[in-house]
Amino acid sequence: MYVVAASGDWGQIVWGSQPAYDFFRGLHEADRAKTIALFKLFARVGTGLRNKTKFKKVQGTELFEFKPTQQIRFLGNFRRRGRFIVAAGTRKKKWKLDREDIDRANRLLDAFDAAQRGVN
Amino acid sequence: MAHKTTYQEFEESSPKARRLLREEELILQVQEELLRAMDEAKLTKADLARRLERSKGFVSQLLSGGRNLTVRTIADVADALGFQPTLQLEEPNAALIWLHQASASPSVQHLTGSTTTAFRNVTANSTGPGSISIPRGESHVQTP
Repeated sequence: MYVVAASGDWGQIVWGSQPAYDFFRGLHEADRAKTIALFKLFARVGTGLRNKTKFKKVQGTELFEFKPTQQIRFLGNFRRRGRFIVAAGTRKKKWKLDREDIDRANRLLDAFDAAQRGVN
Repeated sequence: MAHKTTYQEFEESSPKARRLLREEELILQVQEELLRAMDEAKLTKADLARRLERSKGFVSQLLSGGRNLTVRTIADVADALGFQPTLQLEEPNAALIWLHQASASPSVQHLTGSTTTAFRNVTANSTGPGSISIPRGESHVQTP
């Protein structure tokens, strides 16, 4: 069971962890609007999104990041066709993500996968 | 009964939240449409900056959301790309902004009922609600 953040012609953006969802809910209303608008657009067009400052691969990892504002990032990855799992959210003052953020997102993504397989 | 998405919950949480959402959706859509027009015109940010007589940084900020887009700026950028913007207002989750070839006059239309349905079908591959379309420009666009 999971919460769908947004759905559209391309597919679904899914909250893959409680921390990611809690991070979103803790944002100011204006930042939540930016985030959810971006998720909705991505749910419509998927990787056809042209604005690469808003969604891109995290270099040197298997992860992708949404960047609704200069500082707010949501990390996750694709799982099967038409589904993107948001594993973690973070606020960064610098361009590059810390290793710690990446490791945390990977752990949360693994936990999501395990839960989906019924292991947890 | 299907659970609501976070998008739906936010949209329905308050009139203010809905307005904020519509603003952000429109901003994203304008950016996507301008980027599409750039791709179609085979222009880089540097090319566009030259045509606008502005810095490349200015163009980058416009297209990434770092700078607020005014209606005048949208028209200027569209013109520089050889397009003409058209605004159409629709019922929620259907409105679109297009960039059309600049043969038709700018227009504002209020679409409802069957017209809206037809428009939705036509724009099934669009980027989403609230739209500006920009028709391709003609001789007023100068190639650098």
